[in-house]
Amino acid sequence: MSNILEVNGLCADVGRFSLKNIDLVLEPGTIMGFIGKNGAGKTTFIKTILDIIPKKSGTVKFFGKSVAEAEKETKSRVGVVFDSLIYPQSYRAKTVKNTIAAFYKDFDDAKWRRLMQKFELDEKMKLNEYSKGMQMKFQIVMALAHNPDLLILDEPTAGLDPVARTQFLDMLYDIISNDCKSVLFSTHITSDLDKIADYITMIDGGQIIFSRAKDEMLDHYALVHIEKEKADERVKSMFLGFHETSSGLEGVMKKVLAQSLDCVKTAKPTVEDIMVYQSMALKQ
Amino acid sequence: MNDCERFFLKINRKYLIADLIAMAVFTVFGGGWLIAVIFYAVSIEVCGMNYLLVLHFSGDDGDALNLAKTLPIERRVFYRSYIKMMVLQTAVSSAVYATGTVIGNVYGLRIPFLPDFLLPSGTMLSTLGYYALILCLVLWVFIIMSGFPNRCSAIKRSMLIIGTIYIPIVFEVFYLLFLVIAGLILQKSLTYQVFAGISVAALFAMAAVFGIFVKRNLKKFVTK
Repeated sequence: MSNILEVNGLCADVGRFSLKNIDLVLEPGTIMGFIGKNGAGKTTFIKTILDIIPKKSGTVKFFGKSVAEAEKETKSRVGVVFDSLIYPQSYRAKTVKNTIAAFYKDFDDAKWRRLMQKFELDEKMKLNEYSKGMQMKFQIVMALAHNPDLLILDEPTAGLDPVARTQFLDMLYDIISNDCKSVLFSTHITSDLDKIADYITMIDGGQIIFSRAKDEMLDHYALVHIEKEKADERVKSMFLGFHETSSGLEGVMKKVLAQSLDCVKTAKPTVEDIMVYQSMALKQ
Repeated sequence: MNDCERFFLKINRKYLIADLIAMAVFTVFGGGWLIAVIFYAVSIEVCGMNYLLVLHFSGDDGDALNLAKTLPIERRVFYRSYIKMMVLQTAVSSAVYATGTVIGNVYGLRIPFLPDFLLPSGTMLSTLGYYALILCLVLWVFIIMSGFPNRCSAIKRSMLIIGTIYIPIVFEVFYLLFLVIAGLILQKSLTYQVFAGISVAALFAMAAVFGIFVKRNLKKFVTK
């Protein structure tokens, strides 16, 4: 079975920003968290693989085929949610559905209605009458109603307040776990991925920093706190990234290295710890 | 009929119905007035832009064209449908208006409630004069207008130029062609036919320029 998404040597230029030689593979049935700080290149990458931004070089294949080779087929199997509404806002939700559904062979009207009810969205309301959270929910409904094999989420929780974000994520997890085959979830809020991601890929400055299985990655590293007087240059060089506090040094290092040190406090890192300290390391 | 063409008809349903009503009114009152041409130009512009805007095929930069590019539509088909539907709308409108003009002149159905200069002319020469004048004015206004949104993408600007400048030329071609056919049927004089033939040939040349423009723009649209 071919990979859901396969990117090789992808390069693109958008103004002064560039994507540099990106390789990425998304296997069937997996959820990949695509992380990076603001401006790291997450949205540019997504727009480039979707052919919204022209690529300079490299190949992008969805389901074993390039977009140019089978644009209609590949795009009908992909659901996309951007960080802002892409539908005409002066239209009622139902009108948007009727308009867009015509383009999808597998658009499931009953499922659309079911999801609208689940997300408590009024189909008679105009999209500009929806709150930001409701607009994001509507995008999810539209993306899922044509039964995509791949769901691409580009910072769907950005701009939502904590309550709306939690509600939104709970419903999203519920739907993803029951419904969707593969997901590429781009976010800089890494806690969104804690529950669901199988793989984590980090991008910074338009380059992939790492791409690996989440659990393996979290087992591989340790969050380490070491007292100031014990933090000599040798110890500092063992960190992936660190920052200095009043009492010492705190950062992430390989678990095996942490185990070789005496008198250190260790804890299991989160995806956020790894992203933050990796970014610091790149800056240093 | 493909998905994009059905989509064009669906989102412009109200405008097209209004268009049909207007065509019927103009036909009853004598056909191709200048005011009918202006109405037509606005109508086709509205339908064309609606097609682009509903799919968010607009924005201040190239990467803002989100919805149209995420839908399962081949860009080539999306683009061709845009041109096809606008030309088709043009053909239908001009056929109706030309027929209205001919019938109006032959059978005196015209009701002269407008000032003389707004009425369709009875001769090919003055009809051409009217239309050439209005076309020049419309072209200049639209050229200036299409230069205004200089922050918009090159593709959007090209689409605007097609909709606003070149389509009226196609309208002229169709309109005159139908008048020539009507002239042939009604056995007008040889001078009339020769003059009309030259006019149509000149307009065909302009339409050829339009064709080249469309082709070049398609290439740009598919690759960007």
